Amino acid sequence: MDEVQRRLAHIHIRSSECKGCRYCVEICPKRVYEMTTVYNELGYRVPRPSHEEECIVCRRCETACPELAIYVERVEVGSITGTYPL
Amino acid sequence: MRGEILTGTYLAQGDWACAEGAIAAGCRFFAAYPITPATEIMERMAVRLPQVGGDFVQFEDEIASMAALVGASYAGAKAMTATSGPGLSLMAENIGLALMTEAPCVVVDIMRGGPSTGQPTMAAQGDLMQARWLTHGDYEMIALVPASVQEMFDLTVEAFNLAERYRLPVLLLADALIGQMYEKLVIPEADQVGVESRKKPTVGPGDYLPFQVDDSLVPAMACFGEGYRFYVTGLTHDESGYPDMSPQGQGRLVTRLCAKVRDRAGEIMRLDTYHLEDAEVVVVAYGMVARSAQQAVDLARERGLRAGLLRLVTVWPFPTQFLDGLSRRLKALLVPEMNCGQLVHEVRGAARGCSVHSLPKPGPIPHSAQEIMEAMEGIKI
Amino acid sequence: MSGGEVKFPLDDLLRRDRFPHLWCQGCGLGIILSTFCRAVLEADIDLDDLVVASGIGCAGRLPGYLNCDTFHATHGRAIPLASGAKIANPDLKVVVISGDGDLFAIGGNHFIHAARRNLEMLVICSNNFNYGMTGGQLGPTTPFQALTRTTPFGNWEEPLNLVQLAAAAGATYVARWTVTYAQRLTNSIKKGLQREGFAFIEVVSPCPAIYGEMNEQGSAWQMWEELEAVSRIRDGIPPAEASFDLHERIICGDFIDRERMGYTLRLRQNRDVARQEGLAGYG
Repeated sequence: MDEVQRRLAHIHIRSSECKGCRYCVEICPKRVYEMTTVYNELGYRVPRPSHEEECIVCRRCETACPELAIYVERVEVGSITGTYPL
Repeated sequence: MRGEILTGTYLAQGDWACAEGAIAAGCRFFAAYPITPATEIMERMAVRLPQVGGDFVQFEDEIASMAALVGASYAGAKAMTATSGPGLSLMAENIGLALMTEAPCVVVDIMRGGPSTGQPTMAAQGDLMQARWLTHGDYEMIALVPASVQEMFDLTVEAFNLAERYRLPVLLLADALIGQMYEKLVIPEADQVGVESRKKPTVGPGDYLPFQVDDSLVPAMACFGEGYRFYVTGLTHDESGYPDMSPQGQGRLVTRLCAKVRDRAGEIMRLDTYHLEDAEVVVVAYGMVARSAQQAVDLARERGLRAGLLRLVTVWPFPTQFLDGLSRRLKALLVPEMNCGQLVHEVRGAARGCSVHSLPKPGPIPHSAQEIMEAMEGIKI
Repeated sequence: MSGGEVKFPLDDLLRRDRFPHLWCQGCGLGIILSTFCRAVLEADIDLDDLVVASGIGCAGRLPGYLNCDTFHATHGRAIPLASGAKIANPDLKVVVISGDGDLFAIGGNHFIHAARRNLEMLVICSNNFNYGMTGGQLGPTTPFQALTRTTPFGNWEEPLNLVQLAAAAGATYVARWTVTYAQRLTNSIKKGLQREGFAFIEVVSPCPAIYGEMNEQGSAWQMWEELEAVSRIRDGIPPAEASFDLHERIICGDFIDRERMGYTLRLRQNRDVARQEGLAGYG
């Protein structure tokens, strides 16, 4: 009945520019990222934000990324559908 | 009466005349390091430039001075430095930067005895080849060689105009005698001094490529702060200004850098001729030596020898074709110079029609008219 | 989630057509680039007034990625080149970004004198302890006994303390950060951009592919962790106490922030005096 959306961010990664340094994976306090087995054109394994819903928009990944390849887009917080029980 | 151009007639020093020529040409940035015998240029600029709304800075060395010239030029200023042989040696790398980034500026070299510290207060003409080849790689240089205090003024103005027109560092080479001596100088009215400035872009930032050229082979120059947001590098680059490490890229760039001067050599070169029409022996000289040579030609003619003088006013680009043509109707060319023989190699390479004779004299005393005349007579023709 | 066509916040400050950049996996220079861009945005600097110059080396490539007037000069000579530009046009906002070798070995003398003059520019030094671009040779900040291509048996020289040198030379703003202090570094750069005077920021920057590899520092992330572990912030302490030992203790912070008239303003004063004095004869 009630649906609370908690997702705070859409994480954009320019994977084609990633060099697989893992800073984002290691630095994230909410363990949003994990390394994949996908190799990009540069020959590096790239991460993905597999737990994007955990993101708290601290932007440590964005500021730490040496490739400037991450953008943490803050999205509208919360929407509740249905009735609110009194 | 104080003004930007000190119109009037003076008994002036060569170095002083050079400084005033620079101001007349619009120079408003001067960066240098003290070095005998060019220091007077610097000291005059230290007084005059701030008075005319420019800036003078004594930098920590000649390397910094030349780097500052490139920066100031790219910020839109007409910029100059003055030095001697040891300083020119230090400036070589950044003169290369100015060549590569096509930064208009003027470098004055008042030549003294070398190599190394040499004879700081004594004249020589030992920097001739250095003026052409001082830095590594392929490039053309423009070098003017005054032979009087008047020419120290006039040719400094010319140097700025050539620098702006062809976008490169232009050298003014004068031996210490020309730099230090006092002679009559006439500084004309401001409207009599022809001044040129660099070509500016005719397109907006979105369409501008910093090193794209038309038939002139000289790119239009946007400067810092004009909104063009360009990239300049000493690396080999293409029209966009970005580095280009391709094989074709190197050829294209250096070919153009050379061609922009070579193709216009006819307009750039200045020669002064004396009694060439019927000459059989011609002296090729510049600077102080040319003054003795002119007297020597007169002395020789009195003694029945058909002598003439080709005085170089620009030494680079070298008048190869002119000299070759001239040599075909001569018996001999004589090359007196205040060094161990530098100009003579260039003359020999150019002149295929007659013999070429070297008269080196390492300096500091220039050849006398008598010495040159005797050398002419001594040539078996 | 792929980047797709989404515009990133720093895109307008970058020459996006030049990406991906040429630096190695985990290189601190990318972080210096992004913090610089963020600071420019926050300080509201007009990109048309900004000139960024650099010398030779990996750090020297940084301006190539910035969307403003940029000049890649000869080795060690970015500071005098930038000085000439600033003096000729004081309305320019002038920044030099270069490496430890370019700024303090071959360029050391120029650094000292520009600081002494208090020439109005911001100098950011990416300090990675070696000459990375040419393969990893000794630099003026290479730690004692470290291995480099030209110290194959260990470095026998003591490294220079850049903060102390800058302070001694007269710089009016001196700070040191590592790339792990993104926010403090951004603030520092912003401060450097907003003041007029010689500002110097040393940024300790990992070089995992070359320095790290030669000295067995582990992965890029391990180097990051070590930097975090040894760094401490001590704002305002005397520069003499801003010690630096790469593996023991790196003191970071804002050390000097003082007022002194900038050089281009002094040159204006010079003009006023020159005009009053009248023509000083000739000859």
